[in-house]
Amino acid sequence: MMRRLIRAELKKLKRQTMVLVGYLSILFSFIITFAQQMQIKAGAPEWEGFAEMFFYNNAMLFLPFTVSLIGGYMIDQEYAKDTLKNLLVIPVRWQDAVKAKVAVLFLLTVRIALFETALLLAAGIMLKNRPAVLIMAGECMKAFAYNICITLGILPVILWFGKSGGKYIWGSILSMLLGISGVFVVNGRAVNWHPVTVCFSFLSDVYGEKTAMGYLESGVAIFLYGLLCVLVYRIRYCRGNKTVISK
Amino acid sequence: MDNFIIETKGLTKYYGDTAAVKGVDLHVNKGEIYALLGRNGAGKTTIMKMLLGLSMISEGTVYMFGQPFEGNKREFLGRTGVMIETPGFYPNLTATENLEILADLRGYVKRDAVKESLERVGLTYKDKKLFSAFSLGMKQRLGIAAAMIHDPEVLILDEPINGLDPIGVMETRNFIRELAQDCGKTILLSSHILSEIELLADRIGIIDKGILLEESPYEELKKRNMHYILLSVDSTETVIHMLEEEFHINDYRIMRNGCIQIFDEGIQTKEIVRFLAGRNIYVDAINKCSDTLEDYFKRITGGEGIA
Repeated sequence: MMRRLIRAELKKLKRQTMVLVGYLSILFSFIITFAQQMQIKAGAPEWEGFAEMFFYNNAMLFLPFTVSLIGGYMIDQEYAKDTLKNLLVIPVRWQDAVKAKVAVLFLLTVRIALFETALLLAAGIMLKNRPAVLIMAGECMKAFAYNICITLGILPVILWFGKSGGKYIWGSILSMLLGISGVFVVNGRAVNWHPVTVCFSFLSDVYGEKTAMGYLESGVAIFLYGLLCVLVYRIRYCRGNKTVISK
Repeated sequence: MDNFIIETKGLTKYYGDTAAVKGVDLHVNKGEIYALLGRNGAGKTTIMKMLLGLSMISEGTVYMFGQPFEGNKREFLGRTGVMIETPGFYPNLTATENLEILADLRGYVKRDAVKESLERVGLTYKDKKLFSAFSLGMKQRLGIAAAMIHDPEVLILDEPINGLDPIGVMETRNFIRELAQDCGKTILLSSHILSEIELLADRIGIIDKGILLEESPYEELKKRNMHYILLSVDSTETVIHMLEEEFHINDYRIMRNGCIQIFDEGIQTKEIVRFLAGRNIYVDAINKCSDTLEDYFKRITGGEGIA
């Protein structure tokens, strides 16, 4: 059943404006990064620096909001479009449908990571500083890891607000603020615990604590965010009889 | 119980302290079209939602196919097609794509089920038009197609002709009848459109303020209650007393204008006239009358018309 649910969720994304908004925001991040690099490096930016700043901008400014918007919308639309009843009479358990949505959200972030990689490649061509294939593959893996960790960090917010009928937009705003707040912790000790910068010690070349303790803290924090996701999911979607439309 | 495809016992639903549905005992036989008739807000949709487990039951039990619904939900829902309230689909997808999702989730539908369901309701298979551009009538048709996609034994349709144009109403009526007559499907539908119920239903349940007031085959209801004698006399109380003694009538109603409606069958108007004349009682008027379903509905719900 889970495979069928995931397939259904993927089909539902067809012609979905929200997904397009996601790609556009990443493109916007790319443009901003390009402008920043041109400013900083006075017309001769390097690709490595560009990639680092691109991931930083994505993490702090765009990805939390975008992923939260898409994820929240995916859950909320079943209430808003009144399609939940169609699933419940099949019968599909709402809890399972939400699990499938989360799985598809992660798949979507992987797709976004591929898009980011394509943009990085385009940047390399534009900067006449095309990276080696191996480095490019490494950056691609980094993009996957960044996106998955950031999605995990803000998933409790998505799950919490997705259930509250039309309030997912508030969840997106909260996620955006969480992302921006990362700017203030990125150079401090909280960098390993913050939902958006939690993976920096592993992935960033510049930020995060590159010590055994730093890696350990990040690992524990990622685990705790995973646990928090499960907790919010159970509270919001599994407690009592949540498979009915009205109590 | 075995004969009933759907049966409820004391089905009750409270919202806070207010009872939206009170002690409903519903009986739907195999192969019949059962129509729940009631005003908007009478509790029709709430009953349907409780039948399907979409709304929690406060009191009472639901039986489907002779077995309790609780504990057999998965099996029963697999044998039931449903359209509740306004059909909801994904606006960014076409009718075919929407149905393909549902068919895939059901997992056990025929290969051409989507095509057949769409064609049955008059929608084009693989049409590029998105659901967001559908008219209300098209949405309604798609809702019915979705309910039929897995060839269910029972169809539960909430206001299936809502929003359809006159041709659409006729077509929908015809194929609902066809589904019951030719395919042996059991259909429970709700409506507040009396004229349609009259043309469609084998059996009617009249619901008002959450209470199922009457449940009987339409033909029987027509024969039993919708024909009556209307008698206009001066001293109604005395006449009623005399008629009770002489003809043993017990199903009558004294109207506000002093007229008497006698619903008991087998009494001839000429017998009443002869009897009252013999007792020196002057009869202003006496007529054999027929109620429309609307008149009957008004009479038993004690209120205004339905629409």
